[in-house]
Parts: sequence; C-alpha cells; structure tokens
Amino acid sequence: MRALAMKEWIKLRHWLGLIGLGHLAFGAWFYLSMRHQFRIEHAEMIYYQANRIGRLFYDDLRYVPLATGAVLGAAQFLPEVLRGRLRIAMHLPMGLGALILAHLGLGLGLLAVVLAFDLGILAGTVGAFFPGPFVASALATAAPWMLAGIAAYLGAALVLLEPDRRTQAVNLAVAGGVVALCHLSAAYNAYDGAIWGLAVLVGLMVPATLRAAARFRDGGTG
Amino acid sequence: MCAGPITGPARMTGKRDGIRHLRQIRAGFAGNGTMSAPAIAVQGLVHRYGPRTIHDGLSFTVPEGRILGLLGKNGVGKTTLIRILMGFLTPTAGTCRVLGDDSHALRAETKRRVGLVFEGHLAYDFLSIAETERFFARWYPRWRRDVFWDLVERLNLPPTHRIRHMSEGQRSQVVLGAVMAQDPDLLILDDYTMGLDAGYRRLFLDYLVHYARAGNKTVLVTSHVVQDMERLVDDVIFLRRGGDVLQTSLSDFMGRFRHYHLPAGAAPANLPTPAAPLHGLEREADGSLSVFAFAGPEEMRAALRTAGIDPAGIRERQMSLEDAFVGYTGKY
Repeated sequence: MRALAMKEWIKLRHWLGLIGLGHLAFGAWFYLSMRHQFRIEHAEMIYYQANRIGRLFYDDLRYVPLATGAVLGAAQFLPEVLRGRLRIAMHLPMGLGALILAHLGLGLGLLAVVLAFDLGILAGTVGAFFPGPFVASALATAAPWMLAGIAAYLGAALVLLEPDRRTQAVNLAVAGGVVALCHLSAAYNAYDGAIWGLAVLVGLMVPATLRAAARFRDGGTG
Repeated sequence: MCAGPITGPARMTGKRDGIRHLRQIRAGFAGNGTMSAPAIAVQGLVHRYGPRTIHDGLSFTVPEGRILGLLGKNGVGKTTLIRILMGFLTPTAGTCRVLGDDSHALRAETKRRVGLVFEGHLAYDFLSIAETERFFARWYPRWRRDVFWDLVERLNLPPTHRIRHMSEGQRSQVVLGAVMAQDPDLLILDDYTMGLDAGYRRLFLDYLVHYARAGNKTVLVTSHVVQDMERLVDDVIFLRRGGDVLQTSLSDFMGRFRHYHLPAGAAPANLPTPAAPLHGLEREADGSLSVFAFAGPEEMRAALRTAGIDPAGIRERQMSLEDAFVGYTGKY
C-alpha cells in the first residue's frame, strides 16, 4: 500500500499542486467577492435577498468540486489505461479488487482534502459575513455539489477503466446522470431530505468501477 | 529441475492430437526421470473472437528451466496466447496453468514468481529510475537490488532520470532490470524487440540469456526478430494459420528441417500441393524452386518424383532459423 501511495503521489503531485493553487485562488476570490457584495449593498438587503428571495450568494462554488473530481480522476486513471499500463499494477501480488479500491481510496482521500478545503472556505466566508445559522445552511446546500465532485471522480475512473467503447458510452451517460442529479436544484437546503440517498447512489459507482476494471483485465487494453 | 531436451518434432493439429502430443514430448520430465510440474501447461485451449476461432484445442507444456520461443506469423494468435498466459484474457475453453495456478486467477504468491515484460516495455513513465526500483522492491521479498542497478547503471543516467525522458532502448533496460530483480521463476516476454535497435536488442538478449541460464529460469518469449531466438531458446513452438502447432527443441528442428533448391524448370508451372514428407514449395523470383521438408536427400528425391518434380540438380542449402521459420510458416 505504501508503494502504491508513493506511485500515486508522484503521478499526481503536479496536478495536485495545480488543483491546490486553483482552489486557493478561488478561495481568495470567493472571499473578496463576498466582501465586495457587502460593501456595495447594505447587509440587511443581502440577508433579505438570501432569506426571502432565495438568492444564492455562493453559487460560484457550485461546479468547482465537479471540475476538480473530473480532473483528478482523469489525471489518476488516464496514465494507467494509456497503452494498457494498468496491466503492470494488475500483475502486482495483490487482488484486483484490493488494487482498484486502493487506487480509489487514495484518489478519494486526496479529493476529500480538497473538498474539505472548499467547505472550509465556504463556512469561513459565509460565517464572516452572515449570521451563524447561514453557515449550516450553506454547508447543507453545498453538500450535493461535493457529492457531484465525488461522482465526477468515480465517473472518470468508471469511464476510463472500461475497455468496451459501447459500455464506456453507457458509463459516461450514467456518470453524467448521477452528476446531474446532484445539480438538479441550487435552492437553499434543497437536498436536505435526499442527501443520504444520493450518497448511496454515488457510492454504487465504486462496485461499478470494480466491474469495469475486471473487464479491462479480462480482455481490454484501454 | 531442468527438463531434458525434447527429442523430436511433435506436431499436432488442435484437439485431435493435443493429448498425443503431450505424451510424445518429454517435456516435464526431469533429468533423473522423475516428473516435475511444468511451469506452463496449456490443455485444450480454445479462443474465439466472435465467429473467428484463433485457437482450437491448443495444448503444450513448458518444462521448468527451459527457454521457449513462441513463433508464428502475424495473426496466428501469438498475442492472444500471451495475453491468456499473462492472465489478461479469459480463454473461451480449456485450461491454462502457470506455475500450477489458473493463469487468469494467479495467487499473490504465484504472481511474485512470474515476471512479465509487456509489449513496448510498459513502465510507469512518470517515475524516475530510482523511484521505479523503490516501487517494485516493496512487492518482492526476493528483490535483487544489485541485479537492477547492475543493468541500469550501464545506461549512465542519473537515478533521478524520468522514464518518460528515455529512449525505447533505455526504457527496455529499466524494465528488464526490474523484472530480473524480482528473481522470478518464470519470465514471459511479449515481443521484447519492439522498438529496439540492434545494439539494445543484443544487450537485452545477452543479459536475458545469462540471467536465465545462471538462475535456471523458465522463459517464454515471443519476438518478431526470429534470428535472435537462435541465441536464446532451447525449444520452439511454431503456430501456423489453421491451428497447426509444432513444438520441438531448436536443435532438433534445425537438424531435421531441410531446405532444398531446384533449378528453374524442374517443376511444372502449377506447383502441386505438398504432401508428406514435403512441407513447403516456394517458387523463387528467378523461377527456381525452394523445397522445405523433414526429410534427407534420398527420401526427398523419391517424394519429388512422386509429386511430378524432377529431382535432378537438387542441392541442399544451409538455413538460419529465420530461413527455417519462413520455410516452415510460408512467405504469405
């Protein structure tokens, strides 16, 4: 496992650097943008817009986890499937399931760090300008966006590991559908009653990815 | 451990002769006459891509300690067979055992005993030389650091050099070093010559031969450069279109398979279909005739007369393995 972690770190570190810089820049812009809102408008007006009209003041964050998950998934699995390079790992003395789960676990762990940073920026920024209850609401509102990021990561793995072009297209449609479900509504707390069901749906992409990897081993070269 | 040589060309045509073939060859018998498990045992292997049958009842064994070359023209199923042996393709039917395990379900401890060199010298090109060594060393308890660095240091590259910045030849040395350092009992090499110039091919081959002989390793190798096989292999398997398979020792094949030459005009315009002992008839560009057969000159003369070919002027020609390969498998 340490060897795999070393390999994944070396493979992804430049991408992680870029992603980290991107998120830092986004965080700074997000904070400054919010501060600007409060400078040009009265705070009471903004609270009114948020509370009564339902205007979302952190909509800019919406697609950031999605893009991050997709980029990270592609950066991790594209080099593995190019020229069928995944066969090297598949011959390592460990089971296929454990191998793929280890790769996914490492990728999801890194993604979780980035998404936690995003949530931290969101909570910190909202907490700096809005009353306390807005923070919990913002985190609940952003939760499906985070799930979309995880779905995009797993979707990238699912699509890239699949050796059959037709099944790859189906996997792409399925992954796109799951991501779309995570973005059906941008209203405050829209997913409060559905977030766990959505999380289970996203989780089901893990065994699907294992099946794609098994098909890769059984005859595909990517 | 080391099996005795295979004594005669054992020929089989898929299912019909597979079991007979297994009895014919002495593969799997140790020098003291006791039975040792073959490193690779393929029995009744069938593989199809849709309606197209690639292998139909293929059977052969690779005894421990032998170096076997898998030869055949493009499209006869070499890559399919190698992929099945490497565990990256499930056969339609039949069994394929590698060091006693189903090739498609190798246990972790068996994987440690099998070294694979993939076509194109697949490597993690985002790793450096030192990182490659560190990565693989963790998986193999018998890891031979000295073997890896002995080979790789000859490249005169710093350990921090990334694989992606290497030439194909340099990468092949790193891949071979990593596989040899695993100290596997069985090596399977899929077209190791791809992309290598003559110098790197020779370097690769010299190391491989020395390593395999010194360590009594079993090696199964395919290559498009047939002439290299002459320096490497003990035994050969020829795969031919239509499912014909010939497994024999290299020395026996080269001793028994003959090339005869007849002047222009010795044969009718329409060449007859060769029947035993004639194996192949090839009209050369100058109108002369090349005849390939598992037969001595006297038997050849009689066979040629029977086929309506005038044997006067017959001359036997020396052959390299490449000549014999082309003669055996045909030019087209």
